[in-house]
Amino acid sequence: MLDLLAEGIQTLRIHMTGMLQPVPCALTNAGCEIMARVAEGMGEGCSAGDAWRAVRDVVARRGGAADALTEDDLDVLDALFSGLGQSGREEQEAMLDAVRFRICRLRDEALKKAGEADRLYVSLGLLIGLMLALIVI
Amino acid sequence: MGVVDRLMALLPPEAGKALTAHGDEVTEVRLRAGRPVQIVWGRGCDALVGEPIERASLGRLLAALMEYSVYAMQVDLDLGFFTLSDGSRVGVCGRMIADGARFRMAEIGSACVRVARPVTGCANALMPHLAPPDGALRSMLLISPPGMGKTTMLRDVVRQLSDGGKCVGLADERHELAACHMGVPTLDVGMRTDVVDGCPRDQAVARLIRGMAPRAIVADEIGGEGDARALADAARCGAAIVASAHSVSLEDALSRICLRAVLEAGVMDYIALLGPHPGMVRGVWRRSEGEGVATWKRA
Repeated sequence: MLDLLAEGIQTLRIHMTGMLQPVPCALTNAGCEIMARVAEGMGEGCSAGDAWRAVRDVVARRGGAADALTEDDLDVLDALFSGLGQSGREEQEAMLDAVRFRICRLRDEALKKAGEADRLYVSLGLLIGLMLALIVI
Repeated sequence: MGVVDRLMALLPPEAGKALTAHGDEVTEVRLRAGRPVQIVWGRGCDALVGEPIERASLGRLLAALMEYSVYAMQVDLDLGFFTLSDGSRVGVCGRMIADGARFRMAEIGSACVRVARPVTGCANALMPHLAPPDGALRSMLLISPPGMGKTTMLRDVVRQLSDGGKCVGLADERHELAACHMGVPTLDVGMRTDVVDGCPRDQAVARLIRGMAPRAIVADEIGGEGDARALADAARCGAAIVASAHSVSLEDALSRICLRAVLEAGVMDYIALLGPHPGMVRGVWRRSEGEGVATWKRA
């Protein structure tokens, strides 16, 4: 999920600051479901921040588009959408780069935690297997 | 949704009501931080309505008009305006900051929303000069003070030439004539019109001539030396030129250095002066050559 978001932000950056598309168009073209939902919300005439706040709880709940995201991940999205489109080109580029950097860091942390959990479960599995073997013998 | 409808939803209730009352007649809405909204309608009637607008509210209102996409308007904002999706232009003033050789708009203190409203047929009086029955197109410069409907009339000229069977190349630097969205015109500029949107006029004219072989080239608010060179070159390539420029009279147009270059190059066959009210044609002059010097006589 974080990988998809990082890719989406990269594409969003191209559509916004490279092709100068308005935020709703750029979000729609970013190829990311969460961003598409925010773009839909902006169709009502509100800012990206307001549109995100309206859909945040819906996409973050079980089975939603952002179900896999933690509260830290969602905080990064809060920062992304509240500042989206509110300043000049260079400021937007800097903001999008910073958000992407934070998302990549969260992804790396999540991968590291997942690796540790994997090792823990493998060790536990081996231990339980050994115990079962000892009991059987 | 047009700009007036959008403003009705965004402005404080009292100003929104006043806007609703004048509806289709509204020509300008002027917004200034710390002052009431000024609504201009009809032939120069105006009123200040409602409570003064706070600076933060003005910022939010303009952000909404920009579809929350300030970065996309940055270049135009630095030049003092931005254009809305319906072709309406919003002029802005405020604090500028130096950024190297250029100046950037740092904070907007006031804005003037000029409502774009296509008027089908408003160029009827000009068409017999531009497209006479012999089938050859003529060139024309439309001049007037600001607010007399040059852009609206130019848009109708484009539509009529295009729907009349001529391929028209439109250099729409400020997105006002065709109000393109993603490169596609949203206003009616005719079935045979190709638009270069958001590109400096001189470069747009060169691109149109090189790539689209138009029978006529149309450009709004010409003024620079580059415009004169590009239009003269396009005319030499056989395209008719229709352009507009700010000027209060024929004499004023002939004395403006940037326009004189176009007029002395023999690019224009006619000059049309608009006014004294929006959409009215005060006079049309035809170029005639006498002893090697171009003179302008009433057509």
